[in-house]
Amino acid sequence: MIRWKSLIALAVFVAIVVGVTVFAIPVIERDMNLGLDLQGGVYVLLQAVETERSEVTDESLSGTIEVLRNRVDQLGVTEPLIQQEGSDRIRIEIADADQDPEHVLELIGQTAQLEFLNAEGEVAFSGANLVDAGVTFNEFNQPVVSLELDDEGSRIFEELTRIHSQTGESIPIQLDGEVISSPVPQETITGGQAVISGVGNVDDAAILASLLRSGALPLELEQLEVRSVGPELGSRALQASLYAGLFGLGLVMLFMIIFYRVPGLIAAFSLLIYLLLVMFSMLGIGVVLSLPGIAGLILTIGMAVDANVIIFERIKEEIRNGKTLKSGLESGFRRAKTTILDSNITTLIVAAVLFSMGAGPIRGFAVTLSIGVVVSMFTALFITRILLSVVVNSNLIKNTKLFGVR
Amino acid sequence: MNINIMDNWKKWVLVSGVIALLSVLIMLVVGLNFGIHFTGGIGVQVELGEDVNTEDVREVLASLTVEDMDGESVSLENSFVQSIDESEFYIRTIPLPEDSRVELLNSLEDSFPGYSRGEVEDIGPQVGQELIRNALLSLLVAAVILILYISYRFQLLFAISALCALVFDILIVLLVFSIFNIELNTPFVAAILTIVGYSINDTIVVFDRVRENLKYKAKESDSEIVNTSISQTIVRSVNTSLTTILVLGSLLFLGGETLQPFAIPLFFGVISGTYSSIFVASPVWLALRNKSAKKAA
Repeated sequence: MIRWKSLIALAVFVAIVVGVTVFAIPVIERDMNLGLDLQGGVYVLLQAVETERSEVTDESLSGTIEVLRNRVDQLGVTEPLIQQEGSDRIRIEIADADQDPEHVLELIGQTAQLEFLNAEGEVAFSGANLVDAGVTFNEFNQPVVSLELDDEGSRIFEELTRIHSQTGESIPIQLDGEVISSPVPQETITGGQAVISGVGNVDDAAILASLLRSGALPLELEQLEVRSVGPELGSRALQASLYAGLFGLGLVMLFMIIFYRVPGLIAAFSLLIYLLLVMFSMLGIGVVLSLPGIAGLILTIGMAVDANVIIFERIKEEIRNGKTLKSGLESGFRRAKTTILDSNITTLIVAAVLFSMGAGPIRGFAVTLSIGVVVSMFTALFITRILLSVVVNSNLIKNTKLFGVR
Repeated sequence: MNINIMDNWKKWVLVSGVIALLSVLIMLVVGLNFGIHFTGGIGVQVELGEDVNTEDVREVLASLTVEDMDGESVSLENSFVQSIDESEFYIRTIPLPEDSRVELLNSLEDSFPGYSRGEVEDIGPQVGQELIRNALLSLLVAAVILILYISYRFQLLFAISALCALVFDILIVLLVFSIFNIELNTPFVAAILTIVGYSINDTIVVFDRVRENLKYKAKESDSEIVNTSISQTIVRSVNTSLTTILVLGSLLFLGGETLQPFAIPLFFGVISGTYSSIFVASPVWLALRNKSAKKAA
C-alpha cells in the first residue's frame, strides 16, 4: 500500500529546496566576494624593511597599514583589503578593474616625509608636527597646500620665519628628501599656519595634501609582488567557469540518474542541496571566490557524488546478497559510513595542513576544499539517507531494478 | 564481477615502477616550465592589434634597454613572447624594478596602436623560492600526518602503500605539466594538492574493503582478499572517476584558457589516482605483507 503521507512530505521538502534555490541565486550573486582574478583589480604584496628610523614590529606594521589605508581610501574604491601577512609583509587588494596599478603604486609607495630646513640646512621640524593639511589658493589664484602645525611646530616656525625674513634667505621645504618649495618669508608668521606653493595643479596639490594628512609611512616598503587584472579578462573567466560548472553539474546529474535510477535522482537532488550549502557556507565565512577556488569548487561537484556512489554500491550489494530493499538500505548506509569517514578525514588532514602552512590563494583553496568535503559528507549521510528512506517507506518502489540492481 | 589482478602482483609492481621511472626520465629530459610565480619576473598580458606577430613584439623588446634589479643595463631581447589569441600576447621577462616596468609598458603602448593592457604580474624572486619551499614543506608534513593517521586507523603497511600510490600520482601530474609544457604557477600547486586529496581518498576506499575482508574472510589468502576487495569497489572507483572527469572535461572545453592549465593535469591525475589505488597501492601492500610474513616465519 502506498503511504501518501510520506510522499506529501517528500513533495513539500522538494518544493522548499527549489524555492530556496530560486531565492538564493540572486543573493549569492550579489553577496559573494569575487577575487581580483574574477573582477579585475590590483594586488600588491609589500615587504617591510628595517631602517635606521624604525624596526619592523607588529606596532610599526599596523601603523603603516593605517597610513596605507588612508591613502588607498583616496582612490574611492569600495572595501579595499589591506592586511598584514606573516610577520613583516603587507598585502593590498583593490578589487576594482578601473584602477591603474601604476597610480596605486605611486600612491602607496610615497613615504611623505615632510621636513622644513633651517639656514644651516638642518631639519628644523618635520611632518610629525603637522596637524592638518589642505588645499587653498594664494593671491595669484595658484593652488597651494596649507599646513596647520601643532604648538611645537608653530613655535619653531615662528622663530624660523622671524630669522629668515630678516636675512632674506629661503626656507627649503623637503618632501622625501627632495626640495619641493623654498619660500622666502616676508614677515614673522605666528599661529602655526604655513603654505607650500609651487606644487602644480589642483589635483597635484590635493594628492600632496592627502599624503601629508595621512602622514609618513612608519616603515620603508619594498614591492615583492604586483598583479593587475583587466576587467575583460576577469569577467570572461568568471563566465566561462560558470558555464563549465553548470554543464558539468548537468552531466553528473544525468549520469547518476541513468546509472542508479531512483537513488541517482535523489543524489542529483542532494547535489543541488550540496551546492547551496557550500555557497552559503562560503558567504557566511566570507571566503573570497577566486579562479583556483572556482576550479576547486567545480571539481568537488564530481567528487561530492562519491559518498553517494559508495552508499549506493553498498546497498546494491546488500540487495544482491538477498536483503530486502528496506534492510539493504539500512545496512548499506551503516557499512558505507566508515569508508566515507576514513576517506574524507584523510582529505581533511591535507586541507588542514595546507591551511596552517600555506599563504594567500592556497589557504583559500584549503578552506573551499574543507567546506566541500564536510558538506558532501553531510548531504550524503543525512539528506540522501532521509530522502531515500522516505521513498522506500512510501512503498512507491518495490522493484529493485529501480535501484540499478541488475 | 570477479577480478583477478593480484595473482600477478609482481608484474604490476614492476609495470608501475617502470611507469614511474619513465615519468622521472621524461621530466628530466623535457624539463619543467617554471612560471614567474616560482622564478620571479614580470608577466604581461597585452592586446596589441590585429596584424601584430611575435616577431614584431620581439623587435620592440630587443630595442629596449632597461635597468635590472641590480641597476645594470639589460636588453629585454631574450624575453619569452607567446601569442595567445589573434591580437593578444603574453610577455615574460626577468624581475625588473618599477621604473623599468613602466618603461616596458610605455614602449609597448607607443609601438602598437591597438595596445590595451590585460593582466600584469610582477613577482620578486624571493616570493617564488618561498612558494616552492612552502609547498614542499606542506607536502612533507601532510605525508607524515597521513602516515600516522592511516597507521592508526589501519596499519603501517597500508600507510606506506597509500603513500607509494600518492607519489606515483604526483609524478604523473608532474609529467603532464612537463609534456604539455604548462607553466608551473599557483594553479600548479592547487592541482598537485587536489590530486593528493583525490589519490588518498581513492586508495582508502579500496583499503577500507581490504581491512573489512581481512576480518570476515580470514580463511582466504591475502591476494584473494585484495582481489575480492578490488572487485567490490571497482564500480565505485570507476563511477567516481567518471563523474569527476565529466566535470573536468567540461572545465577543459568550456572553462576557457585560464582554467586549462589547471584542468589538463587534473584530468590525467584523476585517471592516475584510480589506476594507482588498484595497481600501485594494492600490489605494494601485498608485497610488503608477504615480506613481513616471511620475516615473522
